[in-house]
Amino acid sequence: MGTPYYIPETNIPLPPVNADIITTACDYCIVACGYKVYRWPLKGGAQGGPNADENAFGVDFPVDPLGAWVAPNQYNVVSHNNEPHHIIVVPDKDTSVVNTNGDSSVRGGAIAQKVYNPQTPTRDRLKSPMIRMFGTLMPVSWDFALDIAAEVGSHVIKKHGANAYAMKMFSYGFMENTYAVSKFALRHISTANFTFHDTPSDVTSTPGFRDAGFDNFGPSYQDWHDADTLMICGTDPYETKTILFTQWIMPAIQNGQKTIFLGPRRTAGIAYAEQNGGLWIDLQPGTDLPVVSAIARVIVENGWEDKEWIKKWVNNKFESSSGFGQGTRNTPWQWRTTWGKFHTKDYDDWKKWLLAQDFSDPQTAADIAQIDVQKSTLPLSG
Amino acid sequence: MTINKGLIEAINGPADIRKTSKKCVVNRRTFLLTSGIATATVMVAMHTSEGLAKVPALVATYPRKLIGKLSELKVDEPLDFYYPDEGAYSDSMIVKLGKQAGGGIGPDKDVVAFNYICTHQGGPLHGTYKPDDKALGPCPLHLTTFDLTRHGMFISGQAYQSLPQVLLELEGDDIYAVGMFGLIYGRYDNLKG
Ligand code: SF4
Ligand code: FES
Repeated sequence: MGTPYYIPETNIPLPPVNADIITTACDYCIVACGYKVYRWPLKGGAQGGPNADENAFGVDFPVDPLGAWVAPNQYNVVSHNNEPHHIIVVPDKDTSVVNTNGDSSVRGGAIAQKVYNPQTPTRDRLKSPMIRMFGTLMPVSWDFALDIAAEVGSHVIKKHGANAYAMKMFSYGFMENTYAVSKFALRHISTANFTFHDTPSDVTSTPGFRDAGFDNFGPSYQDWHDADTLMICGTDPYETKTILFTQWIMPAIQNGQKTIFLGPRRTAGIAYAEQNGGLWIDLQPGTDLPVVSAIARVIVENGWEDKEWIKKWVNNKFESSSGFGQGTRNTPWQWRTTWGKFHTKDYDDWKKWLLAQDFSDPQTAADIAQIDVQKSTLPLSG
Repeated sequence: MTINKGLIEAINGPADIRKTSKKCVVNRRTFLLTSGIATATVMVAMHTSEGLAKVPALVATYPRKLIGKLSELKVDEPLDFYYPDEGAYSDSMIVKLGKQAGGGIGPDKDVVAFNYICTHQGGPLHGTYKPDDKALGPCPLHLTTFDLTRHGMFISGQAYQSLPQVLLELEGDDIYAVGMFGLIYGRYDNLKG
């Protein structure tokens, strides 16, 4: 092992023309940016040169802005077929969708750093299952660990029933994993005690939205870009869905999109929107509901809603209950019974309900959220 | 191996900054101290709070370039220069921050110098100095902002690396650029292009 200090590197090896090129995707967030891996063996000492015909990027160094630059964080050495290989992992400059022109966030931009290399902090990576024996965690084989897990599982199911076998999985572990784990839980264990990703039980995280007939993952990136007004609650996509912001929303803001942020912190994306005609409603954490309700109330009281669109796209009670609008495979009636359980009958009934709530009164909402009441009406009169 | 405190300061910033720093900086420090990246290094003298410390750096072959006089620097007024050559992306700035900084020189350890090119995708940071935050940015392309008191580590944004810091030396009133921490955007080697 070398020095324990981090000395920022001042050069990187360039991939030779015949380096393997593998396309892949970033696995850090759902934006799903495209990436390329350049891989070539240490053996033989091949290296690319700074002229376009000497490297796998086919560009001259120094490269232009937005060019095929490789930051030292994008380089690593890995074992491939038991031989050490150089790898460079960079956003794919050839993408025409998602991260157009090969943009990426810092997370995806540093993917190369998390690839296993015993010379780096990844050396502490768990490489086999561990079982505590005689008070000490010890590495064991997968077969041994799975045998034990199966025996314990069988015991629990036999003694306490299938619902005692709870499972939680995370949806972004790629389709293959998601499919296998769901099938295991729902078909083979048959437990109701199963859920995915961000929810405490197997339900949608946005039931009202779903029941009204919308898929929360419906909009395409182009839709985020094309919206005249975008209201973003409780998050700054510049920080959390970076490329969605910088490649799709930011250019829209430059073209006059009105972006309204509800959030307690003035983060970089919010500051940018504010400086370019957007609005920041600096509410207290957890007070979005009254503020959003108050904004909705001002809209419906003034009749500013898009009546034709609502008529065409928002479910009435029968449509929600029967799953209209979302197809039969992913409808609420398959997951839970909603007949007779909806709070409001349809849009008009919802409007009546909204107007009857004290927290939807703008002044009350503003008091709860500790904001200037003018802020929630400002974007609407503009 | 005994750890030279002056050296840690030279790399991680002054102790009082580390003391007040938020968790992200502590994490970075842990990272800095644990990431055993094997590098061929030479020892150079660098001013730290403990006097002259020997700092390992890849600076042996860098030109030693006179870039200005300490007495002529005014707080929060950056001056531009080129380093390590006058080729593409050598645009750099030196600034007296009025606040102690990692790698800072002068009696107040507040004079630092950085390359101007954003280490995300090459956006120009010229004219983006923010006196209130002692920062460069936001970058006009994708808004990355860099903290000049902490070796150019970014505050918010998309950059893949900290902003390359130009290593400085003070000789009497003369300030010399003598090396760099970090790879300059666009280049594959700071000294080759
Ligand atoms: S926005 Fe960043 S984290 Fe998300 S997929 Fe793209 S590169 Fe990865
Ligand atoms: S080039 Fe500066 S943030 Fe992208």
